[in-house]
Amino acid sequence: MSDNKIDFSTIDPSRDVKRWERMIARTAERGLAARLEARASVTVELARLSWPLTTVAAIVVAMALVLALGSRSTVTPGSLTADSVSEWANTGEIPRSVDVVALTGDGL
Amino acid sequence: MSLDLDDRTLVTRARQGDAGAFEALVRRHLRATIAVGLSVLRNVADAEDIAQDAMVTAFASLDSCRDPARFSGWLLTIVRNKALNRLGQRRETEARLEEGVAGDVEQVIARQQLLAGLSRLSEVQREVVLLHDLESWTHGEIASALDITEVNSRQHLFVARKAMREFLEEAEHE
Repeated sequence: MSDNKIDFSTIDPSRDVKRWERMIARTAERGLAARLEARASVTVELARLSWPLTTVAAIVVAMALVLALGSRSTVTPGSLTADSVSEWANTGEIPRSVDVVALTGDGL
Repeated sequence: MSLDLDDRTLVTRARQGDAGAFEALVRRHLRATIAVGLSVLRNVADAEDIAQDAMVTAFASLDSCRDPARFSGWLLTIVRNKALNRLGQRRETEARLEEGVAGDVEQVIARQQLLAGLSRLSEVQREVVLLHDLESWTHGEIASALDITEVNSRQHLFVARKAMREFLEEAEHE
C-alpha cells in the first residue's frame, strides 16, 4: 500500500534541512522558555495566595499565645471575692496587679 | 537526548525542565503537527506557524497532559483547535494559495496543485493522507491519535488518495 503513496515532497517541511533544524531548535527553545514562564507564574500565584493565609495563621497563633499567657495567672476573673480583698487587708499582702485587674475586670 | 526514548519518558523529563527532552519531542512530533495544521489551513507557511505555536502552548501546559504516553494525540488536538481558530480569524472560505514561494516554477505549481487537491478532501481525509503518506505513520498510530478505528483510517486513506490522484491527473492534462 505504501507504494501508492501520494508524493507530498514539495510540501515536506523538512525538505530544506538547515531551515528545518533551525525550526526545531527555535521551537524547542521557545517551548522550554514557555514552560519555565508558566512554572514561574504558578509559583508567584501561590505566593500571592499564601500571604493572606500566613497573616491569618500568624494572628491565630498570636491570639493563642495571649490566651495561654493570660491563663497562667493564678487568679481567674470571677474567682476573687470580697473575702480575697479582706484577706489582703488583714495580712497586709500587696496584691499583684494582674489579680487586681482580674478582680475589677472592666470596672477600672 | 536519544530519540529511542518513548513519549512518556520524554514528557516526564521535559516536565523537569530537561532541554534535550524538549528538542527530542519537537523533532519527533513537529512534522505531524504541521501536517494537521496543513490539513485545516491548507497553507504551508500558516501550518508551520500554527504548529510551532501549538508546540509552545503544549509545553507551557505540559502538566495538563494526563496521559504522557498519548502525547501525540493531545498535541494534535491542540494544533487542530488552534488552526480552526486561525481559520475563523482569516474569514476565508477558500484556502489561500501560496504566493511568492521560493523555488522553481515547477515546484511551486506542484505545491499549489497538491494544496488544491487537499482542499477537495474532508478534514479527516486530509489528516489521514498527510499523516500516512507524508509522515509515514501507521494506521494504528493514526487511529490512536485521531480517535478513529484502523478500518476507518484505511477507508479515509483510500478515498483521499483516489480523489487526490483524479484531481492531480486532471490538473496535469490542463
